Amino acid sequence: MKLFDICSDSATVIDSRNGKACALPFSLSGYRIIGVGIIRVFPRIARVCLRLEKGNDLKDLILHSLKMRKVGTVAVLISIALSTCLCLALGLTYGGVTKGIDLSEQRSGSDLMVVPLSARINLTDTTLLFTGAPANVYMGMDVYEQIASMDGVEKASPQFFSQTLDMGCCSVGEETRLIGVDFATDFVVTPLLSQPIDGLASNQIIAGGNVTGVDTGMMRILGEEFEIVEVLPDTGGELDDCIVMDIQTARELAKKMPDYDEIFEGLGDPEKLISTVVIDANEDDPPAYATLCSSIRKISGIALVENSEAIDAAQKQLRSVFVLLAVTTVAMVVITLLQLFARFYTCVWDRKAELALYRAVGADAGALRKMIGGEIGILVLGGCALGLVLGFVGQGMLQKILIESLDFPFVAYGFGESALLALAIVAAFVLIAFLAVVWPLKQISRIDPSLAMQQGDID
Amino acid sequence: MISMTTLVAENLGKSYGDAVILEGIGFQANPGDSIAFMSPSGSGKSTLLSMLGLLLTPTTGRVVVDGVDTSTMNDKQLSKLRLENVGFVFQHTQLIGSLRAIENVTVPANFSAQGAKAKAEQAREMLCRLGLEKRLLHYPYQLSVGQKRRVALARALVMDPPIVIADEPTNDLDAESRNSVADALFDRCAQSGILLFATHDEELASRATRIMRLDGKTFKEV
Repeated sequence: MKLFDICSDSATVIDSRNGKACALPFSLSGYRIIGVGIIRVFPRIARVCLRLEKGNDLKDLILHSLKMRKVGTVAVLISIALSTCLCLALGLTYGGVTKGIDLSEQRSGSDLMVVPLSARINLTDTTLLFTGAPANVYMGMDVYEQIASMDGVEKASPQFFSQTLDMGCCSVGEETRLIGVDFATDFVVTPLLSQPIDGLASNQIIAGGNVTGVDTGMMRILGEEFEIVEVLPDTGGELDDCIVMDIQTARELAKKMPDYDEIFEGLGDPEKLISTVVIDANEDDPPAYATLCSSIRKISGIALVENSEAIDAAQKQLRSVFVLLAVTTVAMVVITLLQLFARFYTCVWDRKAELALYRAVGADAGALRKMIGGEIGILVLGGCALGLVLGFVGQGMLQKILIESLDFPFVAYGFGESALLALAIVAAFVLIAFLAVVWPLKQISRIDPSLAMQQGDID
Repeated sequence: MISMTTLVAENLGKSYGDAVILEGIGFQANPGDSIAFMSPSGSGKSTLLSMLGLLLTPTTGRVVVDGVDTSTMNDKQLSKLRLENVGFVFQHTQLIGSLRAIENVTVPANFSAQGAKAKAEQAREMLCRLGLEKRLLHYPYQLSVGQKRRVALARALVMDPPIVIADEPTNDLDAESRNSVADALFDRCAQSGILLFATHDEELASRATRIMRLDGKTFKEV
């Protein structure tokens, strides 16, 4: 398998057996590539650290020093590894959630969303925005007609939530929502399609980016076969978990559901019902925008969800979690810095006799600095390598927990971004390590080689 | 193979503040010379050896090695000169406790282009010649004083330096160890090396080609 595109969200590889290109989910290929990279590249860097200067072979003395202080070495390694792991896991998770919110903001297509009031009572704005209103609550088509005619509305389109599908009824893998879209007015799904369409036939559907079971190009839904016209790109929002069909087809499917009689009994014919109105409004004119929102709110039995408000709420939720984690991480990094400083500061003084001996037998101050530098290089790179591996694993678990427990959409970092973040963390730790040892290294220049004539044995 | 080198001390002196420790020391050591420095304890023998070994900067005078004035050299140049030309046998052996005997011997080679591995065979042979063939992998705490002294001697000789400086090399040793260490040291002179050593041991000093004794604050040849 040869990699030729590693900078996109998914890594593309060529299968050497059949020459076909295929996209692998980043979680599989990208992390594996990073893992292999860490395993192959870091030992080389470590070897370079061990041969810092032509004419010196300090490897044995550096390794000896690390082995001699085993407990300290392991403690520092673990400390750096944990700090790196936390930084990486937090960075990847924060980046994924932030990207998810940004992407859904960009791709949600609507500035405003109108849902029946009961949906608003049961669900938060964040849930409505990012996961839609997956409930059989409806409002009349007249709501859409009123809104469409209001000043300041550039586009408006009705949608109809039919039901949630699962493996029991349909050939889908995970739980998937069935949504009817009016393609005559739609401005949310259509721009995501690779080619413009006039509409969908009654046996055609479009699948969201996360919908599984789409490989055959056909899908069985509630006993009927549908042709999958296209699979949408990931949006990071509700659309990823939806199957889209024509609004009329969705209504007819809902009508056929025996349990739905009760729902429609009080509301009337599903032909005249909708579950959501998505609105594209002119936000460049704030007073007009405010007037429009106010006018919409006056319609009875509905709730208005403002995209920006929901994003703000989501970001607030997000910030509170990440501030706590960031404080912990900063504390870990500071502890690591102090630990490195303590280790190398005391190390230089404790080893004064040994270092003086090296000076006496021909080592210049630079060689000793490189020796100590090699030690810290191995500790930092070793700790970082371990931390990066743990970080990628930890991030996967953290991501799973977040997705299960929070409403945030998540768009994982691509290989390039992940590698860049990993490199930035390693660079930061190298800098921290440098700061921690700059003073001890300075002290080395002051070690007098004639001390070797006076000192006793060296332990 | 030992290269032929001369060492000249010109008007060497050392003071700490107003206290003059040594002054006006001058001599030339040629290939094959062994010079014993004799004086009571605490009178400046180690200080003199430190200056001659380029470990300590003299307050007055200079040391010239092979016609090159070392007083104008920087730390890097001095270190290189020490590495290639001077081997030290310290009074307290100065072995590194966590290194095995053979690893202690190859310590200087770590700072050379050859590396410690290139000198490992030579170190082994040297330790065998000094009667330590069964102690190659022993740590210093597992060795007697005499054995430690011989390991330190091997370390001083492993880089084939033309100048060997030894501070009381036979101190605290029994007769057998003393002879073994002394033989190895004087063997270097037979190979055109220079041996400069401080000692209280008249018998050891008598084996030197020249003896310099303290006279006031200077050493004079007797």
